[in-house]
Amino acid sequence: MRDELASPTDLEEGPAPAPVPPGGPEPVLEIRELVVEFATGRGYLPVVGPVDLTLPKGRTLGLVGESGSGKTVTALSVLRLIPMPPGRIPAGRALFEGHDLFSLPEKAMSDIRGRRIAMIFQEPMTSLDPAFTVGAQISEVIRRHKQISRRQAWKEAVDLLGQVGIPSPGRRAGHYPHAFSGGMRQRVMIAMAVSCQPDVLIADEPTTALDVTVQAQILDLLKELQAELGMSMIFVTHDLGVVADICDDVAVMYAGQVVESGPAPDLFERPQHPYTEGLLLSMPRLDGERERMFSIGGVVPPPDRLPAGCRFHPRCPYSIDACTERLPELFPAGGPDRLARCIRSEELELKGTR
Amino acid sequence: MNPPLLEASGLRKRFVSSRNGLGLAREWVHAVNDVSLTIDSGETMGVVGESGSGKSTLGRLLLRLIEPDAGTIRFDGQDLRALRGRRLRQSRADMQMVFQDPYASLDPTKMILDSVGEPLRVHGRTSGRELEAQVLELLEFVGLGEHHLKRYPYEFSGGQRQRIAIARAVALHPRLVVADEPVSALDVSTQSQVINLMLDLQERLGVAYLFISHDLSVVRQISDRISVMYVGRIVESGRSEEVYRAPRHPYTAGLLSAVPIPDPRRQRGRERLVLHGDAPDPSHPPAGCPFHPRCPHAMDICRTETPPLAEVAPGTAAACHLHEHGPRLQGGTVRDLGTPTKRIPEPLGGQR
Repeated sequence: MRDELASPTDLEEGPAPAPVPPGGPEPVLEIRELVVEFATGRGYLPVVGPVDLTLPKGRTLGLVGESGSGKTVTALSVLRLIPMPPGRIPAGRALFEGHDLFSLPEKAMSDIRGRRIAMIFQEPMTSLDPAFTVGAQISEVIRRHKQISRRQAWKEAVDLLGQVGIPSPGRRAGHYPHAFSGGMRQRVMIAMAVSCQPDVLIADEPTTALDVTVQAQILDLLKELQAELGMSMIFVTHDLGVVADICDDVAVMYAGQVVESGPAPDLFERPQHPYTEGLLLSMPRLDGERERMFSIGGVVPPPDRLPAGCRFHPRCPYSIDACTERLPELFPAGGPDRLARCIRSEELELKGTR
Repeated sequence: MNPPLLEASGLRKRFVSSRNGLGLAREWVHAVNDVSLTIDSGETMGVVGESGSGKSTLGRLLLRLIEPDAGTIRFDGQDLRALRGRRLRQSRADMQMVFQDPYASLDPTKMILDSVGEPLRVHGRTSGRELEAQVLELLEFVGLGEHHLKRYPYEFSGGQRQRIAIARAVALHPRLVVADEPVSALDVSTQSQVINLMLDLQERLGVAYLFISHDLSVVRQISDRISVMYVGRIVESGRSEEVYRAPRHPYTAGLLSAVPIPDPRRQRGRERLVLHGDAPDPSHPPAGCPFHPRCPHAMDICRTETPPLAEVAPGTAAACHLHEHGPRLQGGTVRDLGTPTKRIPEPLGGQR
């Protein structure tokens, strides 16, 4: 909508995309030194950070980790969806087209949220209002960001429902969320999320609550929409199978930090951090030998009881004295675009999918 | 050959899904519909299926936590439904259950000593000092120790609680444990710990498991045989490796092909049988084979007649008309049919 004043968000019709530089596509979203803290009885406790992530344009970045790794908090904080209080972001920047999302006024942020950066969640029922038809809810999102008539917005909503694979969308738009199955609700959520053709879609475990046959359909749908709309995605998941299916790049999180990142095929084949190796080995698989399962041993430490030194060292089969001394940096390891937070990554020959 | 430890046949269970103004049933859901299965001593039978397939109801029926509407269950040769009093109590000690949610299945107000010791006490096996010693032995079995005895559930992680629940389930040395999604709430690294523990216990105690899960990869790790359920029925059963290697029912093939392989190079560009749509609403299952609306091979007969579960290859049974009609699979795998497959789309970015 060109009639608005030029605001930091009013940039969607900028110059044609720059040619892809040799280093890969330009980043659309960069998170720099993000720290998220939550209030506890004994003051603020950092639960995430510092985290650095880069989402290149048109690609899908997988944020992988177990519960308590901070992957969801990281994703939510990009859209400033962390409840504050008790949460706060004392440090860090989230750069989106040259603007720091953390320092935008709330008004500008809410123009970005949903329109330029959209989000879908694990449980669609909690994000849909049971009292309104899905057509009305999608039209509302469209009308929040575009100045068009109610009738026109409804028509767009019906088109979107068709686009995400809902049969007889004209009729279904008039139905309430409870009349949809879990998979169909997630399609409705996706229709709503892509209604304004966002540049970035953040998906937080969008298929975790779904049956596996429906999960496969939703993953395919997301890939098709991404190809059509050219959007970039951040995909939060605990499932390495899902990562293998949909992600171009991966960042593995452990105890609030990224411990390893890189292009997916390369990272799976040659992990550079013992935690990644452990995760890959403990995945039950449909292929390969059926044998006693590998297990990492121990549990993820809670944020108020992080060990000194490397946060993974108490569970790491390769830890040495030096690992207990100080927290390793995330540094280049194992090839182009690869980073790992392990002082031994150079000497260790870790086992991947090859 | 020994008779099976447990033999269920023709089990049916329906629940009221809606009532009319007088509180009388208007609609029923057939949660379990004509299910028969056997479990041998010391083996693991995996039951896989998606939500609404009736797998949890089946587990509860086998333990008589709920009563079947029809069918028989024989445990160790005895008709379980005819047992009363002391005999029933004895059979209860022989059959135990582990639930999905380790947070809900332990009493938060009870110390671990009391939770794990309860079955021993209730069945009058032991008490006092002796009880404590036995509980400690059980905890050590599952990788916990003496300092955990006097603690409460909130002090434990999800994986540890599931270990405690397993310790309680095996306290009376049962011969069968029904485990309903026992690792689904756990993280991958913890999941494998609990599965290894279950395998160890089986080796030491010779206990048989009915392992219910929606996760095919997990079921494969632990099961000797598996049964695949769809809308209240078993559609395929057989030796685990065989079912995974050569699925005889199109639903099994679709299910297997939907599980993503945690290896980008193998997952991408993989040919996949795509199942469209959702599983039907179990209160309005389609006529004929319940799978026919999603089946890429559906024939006319599939729309009218429900195929029986019949042996199609040695040790493998499938409920599918394809083996008798149409292209006549005659026990071959549905993969031989040249199923309409779809390549998994590559992610956009490709190689940098």
